Amino acid sequence: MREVNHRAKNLLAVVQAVARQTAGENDPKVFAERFAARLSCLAACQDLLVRSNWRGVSAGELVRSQLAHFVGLVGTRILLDGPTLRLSAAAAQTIGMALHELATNAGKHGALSDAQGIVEVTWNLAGSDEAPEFVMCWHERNGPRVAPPERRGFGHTVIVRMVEHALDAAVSLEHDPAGLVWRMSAPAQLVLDPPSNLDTSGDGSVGEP
Amino acid sequence: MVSVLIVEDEPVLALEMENALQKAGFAIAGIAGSCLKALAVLECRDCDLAVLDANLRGSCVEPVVAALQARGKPYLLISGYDRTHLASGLREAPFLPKPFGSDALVRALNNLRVQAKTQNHMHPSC
Repeated sequence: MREVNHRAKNLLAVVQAVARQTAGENDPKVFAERFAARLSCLAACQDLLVRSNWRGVSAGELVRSQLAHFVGLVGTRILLDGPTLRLSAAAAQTIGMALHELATNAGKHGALSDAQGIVEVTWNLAGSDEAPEFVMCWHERNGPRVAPPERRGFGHTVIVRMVEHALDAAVSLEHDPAGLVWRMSAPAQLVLDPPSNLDTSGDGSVGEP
Repeated sequence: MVSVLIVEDEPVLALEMENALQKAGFAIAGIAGSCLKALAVLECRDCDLAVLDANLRGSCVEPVVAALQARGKPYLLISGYDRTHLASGLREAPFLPKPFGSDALVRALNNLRVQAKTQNHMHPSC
């Protein structure tokens, strides 16, 4: 019971932080909408973790869970490609939140805001055998022309700084006119569950058309 | 400027605390999500105060507390656990239960700073 109480309070603290950060950038109507979307993202991640008994989440499942109403585009305009890798609970929440912000941004300004744009989400292991890295890329193309944002909000913090801090990751975010490109690379031992999970034989064709 | 080390394994909270403390005029000495990282930060950078999550993904923050005590640096514990459920060596430390507002955090750290100054004043040899 003590552990449940601790987890609940931690989650309430996260919800409070997300609420405050969301409030900092929007009017009340937009706030309600954005806050609800961010809570859904946390809830979707929580569902996956509970289903696996907190033993981690497959990368492909995590990506799908964060696409929300865009999930129907998987296989046509959203292309997923990567091996079966189990991400730790903590990494899943961090990467999940980043994917949610990327999907939201794509729906508002990027490749999912028109009828032609395409998003490729890829992940893999890279680096040497001694120091494997988990890499993930969100690559938009064929969408409207991209301009760098006028100001940086909470979404930017989540997509870049939070991933850097939580996973000791190198993160790049390019507002290429042809489409936004987000890349992260982090030590595999900080992302995978268990850290020795190096089975790359898996579902390389997830969601491919 | 007073510098604060933030030790918190929940990245949203760590970044929010960073934001709130910077707005309140504190400098950030570093952010760490594990004891190992916190100790590494302390090795290479000085801090005046620290705010510590008592439980970092299942490990107790005690090694960081010991390192701070050795350096004579005051610290504030934060946790979703009740104070009585903390490790016995931590129960007497200044404590802020989660969830808390940014104002409460800034107030608690300012109190900590004032207390530390008073104690140093009373025991100038320390």
